[in-house]
Amino acid sequence: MDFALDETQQMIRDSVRSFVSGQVREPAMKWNEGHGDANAALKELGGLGLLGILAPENAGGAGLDVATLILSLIELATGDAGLAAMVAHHNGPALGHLLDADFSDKKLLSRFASGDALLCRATDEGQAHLDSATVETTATQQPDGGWQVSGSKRLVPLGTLASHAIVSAKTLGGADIHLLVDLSAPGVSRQASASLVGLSTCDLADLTLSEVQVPAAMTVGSSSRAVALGRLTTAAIALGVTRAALAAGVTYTLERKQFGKPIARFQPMQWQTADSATELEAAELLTYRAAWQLSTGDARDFAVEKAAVFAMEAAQRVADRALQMHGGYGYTEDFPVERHFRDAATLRLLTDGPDLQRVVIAKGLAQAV
Amino acid sequence: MEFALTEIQQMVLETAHSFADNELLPNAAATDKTGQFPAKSVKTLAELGFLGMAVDEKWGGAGFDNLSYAIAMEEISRGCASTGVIMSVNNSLVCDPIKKFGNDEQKKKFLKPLAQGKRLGCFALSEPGSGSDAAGMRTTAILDGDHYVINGTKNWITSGKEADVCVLIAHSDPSERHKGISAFIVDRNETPYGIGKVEDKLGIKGSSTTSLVFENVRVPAANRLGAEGMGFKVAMSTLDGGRIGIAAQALGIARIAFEEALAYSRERSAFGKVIGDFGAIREMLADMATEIDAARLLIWRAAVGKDRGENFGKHSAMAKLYASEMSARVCHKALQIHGGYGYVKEYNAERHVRDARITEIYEGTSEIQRLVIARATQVAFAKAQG
Repeated sequence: MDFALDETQQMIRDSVRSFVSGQVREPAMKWNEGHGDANAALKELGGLGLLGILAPENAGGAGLDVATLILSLIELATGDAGLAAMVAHHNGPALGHLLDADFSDKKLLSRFASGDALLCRATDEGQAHLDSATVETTATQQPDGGWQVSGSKRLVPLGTLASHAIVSAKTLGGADIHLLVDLSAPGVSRQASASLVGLSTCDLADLTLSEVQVPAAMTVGSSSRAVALGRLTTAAIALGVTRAALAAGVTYTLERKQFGKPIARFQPMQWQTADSATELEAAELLTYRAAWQLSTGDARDFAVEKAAVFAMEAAQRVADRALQMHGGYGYTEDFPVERHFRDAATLRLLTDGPDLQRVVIAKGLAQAV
Repeated sequence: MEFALTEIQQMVLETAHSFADNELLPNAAATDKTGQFPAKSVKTLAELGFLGMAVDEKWGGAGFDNLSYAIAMEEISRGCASTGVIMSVNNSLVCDPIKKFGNDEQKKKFLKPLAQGKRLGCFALSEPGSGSDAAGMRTTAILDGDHYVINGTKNWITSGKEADVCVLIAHSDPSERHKGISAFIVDRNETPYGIGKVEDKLGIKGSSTTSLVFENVRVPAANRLGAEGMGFKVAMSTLDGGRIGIAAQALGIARIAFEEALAYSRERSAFGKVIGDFGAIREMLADMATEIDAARLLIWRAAVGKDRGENFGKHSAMAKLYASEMSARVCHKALQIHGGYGYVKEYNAERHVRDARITEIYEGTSEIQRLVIARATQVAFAKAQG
């Protein structure tokens, strides 16, 4: 049992941390007000190797483990959760899927791993989310072995910036299939999704595919790891938001004075501080354990889902307390805490929401009886 | 970052688990009903080395690390919460301070038989009028030649009835607060003290909770633990470690409550299906399983911190706060899942609720844990601000 980071993990974490304090924390205020975008920061992160964290070095990636990915995302999310959500999506469920499924086009793979091109994974539809049975996007096999894809996907992270999308679809026979779709191909149209309450920096688009031709070689195998990475990277973003909210709240209570002393000295503030710090610690440990499992093999005992449920809900509780600590100021855009509050509430759009994760855990528990 | 147990830790887990399955679980309800001290189980704990787990073999202990101790405490408390607290007090509150602050003479005379389980220990800090505010204690230990003369009453003493060695905290200089406090080892056989009221409690009924009455008890000066005036430090550092034990006890209680509720949810049917397939029950079970894991990781984090000689006070406070409140929530839900059967003694659910409740109170209430955590967190942020 060792809770300490190894040297590489520490080094990567520190470099992301300094990137966040230099190039993310200040501009994030502007990005979230709709001034400018985070695309330049995203490019720079690619230069640092942070868009191919899990990809092996011979595939143009950094060759690091899931734990390092998680640590990087936590740091990024303390600066801007929306930016972290894009980095998480590209590295985790998207590129992680291609790697897990041993995708054969190494040239394309290395473009994604180096950050030259961005990749997204389009699964969400109007009705279909966790429930793949209701996927309505269709893939019809063509005489040459390729596929013709039609359907629509919504709320796809990196949907306008990505060059390619892994699209989930049903064959005529009702089988699940994943295809790597070139988003510049004829028949693809994409438009920015309706804006969300939080994660404003994150590029999200709705995709419409009408009779898009996809070569047979672009068929991607299935990947349970992609789902796990989607859940766990969301836990990591939740942790970054939680950390930022706790820091904002406690720092404010140390400065703000009422009745002649800093409000940090009043027990109601101390109670909220203690509960938030404890929940952050617990959420971190659950997330690190799941990350360690995925770094060394497959996840066990629903460690990923437990981390995701706990971290997503802890983020909301901690952000809510931090806003409360600020009194009326918490409600204004003069302080970043209202953004953490909104980001925390929006996390569940990035992956299966806590209720669905609970169903996964409970079904597993029942099977074990 | 590594979340695997060593072979030894795994062995401790399996040993404790099967002892709990075979010996503790079948007797836990009877222990609760009769309020009898589980002497046979405590004897087995001694044979397993579980009464001095983190004490060197040289001093009669098993030489395990604190993580192994936390693992064993969880498993033993899963079997019987009363046995769990007896084990926790002997390890954390008695062996630990003698190991840390005692001299070789004291270790030979007291630590060795305590760690071997030949003697049983108790820890006397609280008084009828002082609990969390330890410095407000009234018990005095006044030096007279080469003895300290002890006068006062200690309260809420776990194992008070059975223990024959007492780690006592008292004022050696009543004119001072914290600085006037010293720690002592009192041998009940050599220098007898009185056993006062034996409490009739809500739960953990198999462990005795008594007051101890000291009336001019003359304790040899050689039994002072640490320097004069160091008693408050001895007490606080002891409680830091004790919190790991109690957190693990709370976790063990939550484990068994959860396991029984899960099994019940698969057996009981309503509206044509087992109740465990209803969303409401599923949600409770998923939360219980998640929070149990969260508590365990916080406990292990604190135990590993202690093993590495880190400053683990904040982590043990987090572990104790979270695990005890988690245990109360989990036991509450477990009872709820049993419906009316949860409220009667045919099932164990009501006992778990009663047993869990104490863990939010003893060895530092939740309120004290929150103070400790809040202060540590505020200091860290204040430093970061410069």
